[in-house]
Amino acid sequence: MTAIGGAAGKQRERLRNALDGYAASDIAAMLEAHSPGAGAARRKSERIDQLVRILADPEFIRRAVSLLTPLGRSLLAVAARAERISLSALFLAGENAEGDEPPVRRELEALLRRGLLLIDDRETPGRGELSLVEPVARLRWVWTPAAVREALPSPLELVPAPPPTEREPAKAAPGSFAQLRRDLYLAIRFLKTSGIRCTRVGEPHRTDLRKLQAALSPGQAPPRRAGSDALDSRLLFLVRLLEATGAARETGGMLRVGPGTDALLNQTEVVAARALYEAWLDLDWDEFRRLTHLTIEPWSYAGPGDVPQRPQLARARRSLAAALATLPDAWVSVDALAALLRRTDPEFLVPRMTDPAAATNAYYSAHASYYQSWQVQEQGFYRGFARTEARGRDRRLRKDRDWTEVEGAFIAQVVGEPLRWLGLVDAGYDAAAARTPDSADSGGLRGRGEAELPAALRLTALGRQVLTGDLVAAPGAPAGNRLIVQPNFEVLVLDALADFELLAALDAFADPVSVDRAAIYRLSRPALVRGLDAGWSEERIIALLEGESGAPLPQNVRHTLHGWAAEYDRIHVHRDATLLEAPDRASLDRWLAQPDVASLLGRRLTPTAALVRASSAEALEAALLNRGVEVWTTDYALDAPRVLDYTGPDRVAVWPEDDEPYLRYRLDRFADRQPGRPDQPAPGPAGERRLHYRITRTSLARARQHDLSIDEILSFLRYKSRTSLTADDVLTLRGWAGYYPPFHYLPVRAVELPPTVNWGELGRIKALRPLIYRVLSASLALVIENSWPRFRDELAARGIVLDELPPPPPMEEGAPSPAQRAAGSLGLATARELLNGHEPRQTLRDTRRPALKKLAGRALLDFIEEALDSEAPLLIEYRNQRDRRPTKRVIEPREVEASGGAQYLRAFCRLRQEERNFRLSGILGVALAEE
Amino acid sequence: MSKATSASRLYRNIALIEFADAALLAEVIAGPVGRHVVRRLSETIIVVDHAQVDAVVKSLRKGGYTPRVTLTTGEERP
Repeated sequence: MTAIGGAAGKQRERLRNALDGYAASDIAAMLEAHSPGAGAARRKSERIDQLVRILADPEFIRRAVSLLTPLGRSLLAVAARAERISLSALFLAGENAEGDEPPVRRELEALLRRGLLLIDDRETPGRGELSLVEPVARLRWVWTPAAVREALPSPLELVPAPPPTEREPAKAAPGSFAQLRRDLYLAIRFLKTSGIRCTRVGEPHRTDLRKLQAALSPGQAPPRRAGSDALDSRLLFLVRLLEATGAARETGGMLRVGPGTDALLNQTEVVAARALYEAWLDLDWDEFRRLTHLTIEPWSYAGPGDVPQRPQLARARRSLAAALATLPDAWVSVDALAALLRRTDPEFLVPRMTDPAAATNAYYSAHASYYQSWQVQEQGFYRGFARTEARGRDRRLRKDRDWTEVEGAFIAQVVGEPLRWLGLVDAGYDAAAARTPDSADSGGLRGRGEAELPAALRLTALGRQVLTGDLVAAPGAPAGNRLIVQPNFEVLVLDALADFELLAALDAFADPVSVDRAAIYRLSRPALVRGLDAGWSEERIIALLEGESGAPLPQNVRHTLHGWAAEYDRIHVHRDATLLEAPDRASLDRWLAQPDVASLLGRRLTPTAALVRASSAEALEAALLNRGVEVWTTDYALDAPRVLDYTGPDRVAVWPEDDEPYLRYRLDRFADRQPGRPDQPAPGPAGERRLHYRITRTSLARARQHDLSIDEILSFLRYKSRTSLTADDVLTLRGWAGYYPPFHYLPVRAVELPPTVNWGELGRIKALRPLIYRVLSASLALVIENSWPRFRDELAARGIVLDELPPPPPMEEGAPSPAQRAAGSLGLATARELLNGHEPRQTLRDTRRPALKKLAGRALLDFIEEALDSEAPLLIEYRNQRDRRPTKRVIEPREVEASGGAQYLRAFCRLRQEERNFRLSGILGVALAEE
Repeated sequence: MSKATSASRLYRNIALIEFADAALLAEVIAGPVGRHVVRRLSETIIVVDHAQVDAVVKSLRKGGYTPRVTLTTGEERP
């Protein structure tokens, strides 16, 4: 059996199943309707077989269709468009504006009786009934046999096209494809130079849209911050179109030009218009949500309701475009266009009935079943949106009555914005036409938003070509007289919108003043430099201008361009060059005389230096090494660490192999170069000495002249020496650099109370309170020296004796520091002990991950300072203020800093591989890290 | 001559400025560009701080010069 035979068999099977649901008397009636007398005295199954043969016979069906009334034929054509359709949709397609139902019902009943419309055998009330008197009958699904579909043309061919309006609209907004193309060109130019940032949800950033808006009007003042919504919408539409055509693409949160740019700009007008029109058909753009008189509101939790989603919008655009292609060359009322769509494709935007098969979500099945119940569906309300400016029940819109207010407004919106922006239609606005706020009773629209919608439309010549697909390309402008170069340095492009390739070339070396039908560019020195930077030469620029104008350049323009180009070559900055410096002239002479080495070298700059081809640097190094020449390579892209020996501000040294001009240049900015130090042994190869620098108060003052901050210097020293600077050095260097404001001091005496009393109690005594300068803790406070005699007398008067403590003994060399004592008290090993080879008292090193100690305040600070002193890495458990979950990481402490009332540890984080600041209060646990 | 200075040196990703004449070089380094000069290679060529090339170019343009800026690969021949 062939595939066609298989399809025919399935069709017969479907017909048989559908007819099986009908009553025997109805089958007989259907048979009688086609061939009188055929249904008599037979069994139901035999009648069904006969009916199936009739309904599957194309010739018979063609005859049956030809006998239908025009209304019956158009209704059947509408039904034939869909796999299945609800009778409520067919009622809507058949009723006229006044809602005359009986003729439509009669036609539909006649179609059902002939079997040309069959009731779907799936879920439907009153299946197999041929009468449509009951209101619930509208909720039945019907379908047409395949032979019927083949016998009918498109509904648009059966329904007459809307007539032209009697008079022209009061105000017309013409659609201009030239304007769109010009704006797309300028937008692409903007994307090339700036790009548009995208927000997290992928929308273009508003600030950048403003800049784009300014770019669309070159030579004019930028727009004010508060732009109109319509302008913003058009800009967004432009951006979306560019994305859809591939002329723009988002990469890394930035929208930039895409690969389809040239294809879009270099096409003929009609081909470009067709490409943009096709992009719009599936564009991510929601015309329905732009209807201001409708408010989207959640109807239930079972989905978006009847709010059209992207596939439905794309289908609606195609239906509308097909209807537009049938319009005459005159102004046509939007209401008439809406009526045409109602009669030919009533469900082009919103289905009249919900398909029960679509609601299969078990979780929301309770809601779904409620809203899909026959009773609720019979009410026929649009679900998911309502009137914006009405209250209560008046907000609701009915599917059988409010076509113009929903589908009609959608059509007007598409006409007024995307189609007009694309230059395919002119939109007409007329206060006296039907589409006014006062004309609700006559089927027009209501509300403020609708009044802004167009009332009429007219296809443009380009629009007709694009919509019908009959593309006729206009002849291009002849080369040779496409521009004029004027003596005032202005370049006038005559038919600018027809030649974007020429505009793109001019963009490279001239500034646009205005771009319209004719474009004006200005030749200027910065623009010429931009062109030369982009690889244009003076000769090429002049050749282009003369070739396109068909005349020699004005003398003054040519002379000035030459002068600017000559000036451009006077200073040449080489970025990222590779340079070979020979020890002497003879060596370089010798290498240049050797072909294998010379081929790796570029231009000779000085007697001892030559440029090297970047791709040949390794080969050159190898070639010289083969000749026994020692080559020391310095790559400035890699900022090499560990090239300094730092042991104090006056002891900064550079080893000979690390010595190079850039390191000297950087050191010279903040340190003084020292003459050779004969007391030092010669540590370098072949008896060389190190280069010594000394940082002084004066040298740091010089750094300030170079805008070099002390923090940059400290960071440089730490990185280049890979050593931690001692706290003393940091304090000293910062002090010399004038980093600190003056410290304040005051002669005071410290008074420590015995455990039986505290400073809170003493502070309550009026006579003592003003004498206490600062309370440091419950037992310790400071008293200013001047107040001391009075303070002592006041206490004596209260029988309290002040006993002077002997001064504390000086700290012995090697005695534990406060940090060591703190660590010791917690059972932690300090880095210094580890460095000295002492075993830790607690076996922190026994495990791969040492146990973390919870330290805070002074104890934590002491522990960190100890790690700083010994340059020991720490393992910390850290929680920052944003994240809820702490992380464990190994850090290399650099410095403890205070900022904003909190203390921070600046350290290199091995987890994040960069220097970070850790708030001490966020360190939940700490231990010495395993190395 | 020490060994360090007797060896040949290869500098990668270095920034150079070539001037049409020595007078122009002197004029330029007398201005704000002068602070970024690492060394003078010849009468008309200087090495500048590669990390400050953008600032150098900006200073030159601000000073009314129109420098030619190229990513030099060394491919061009004399």
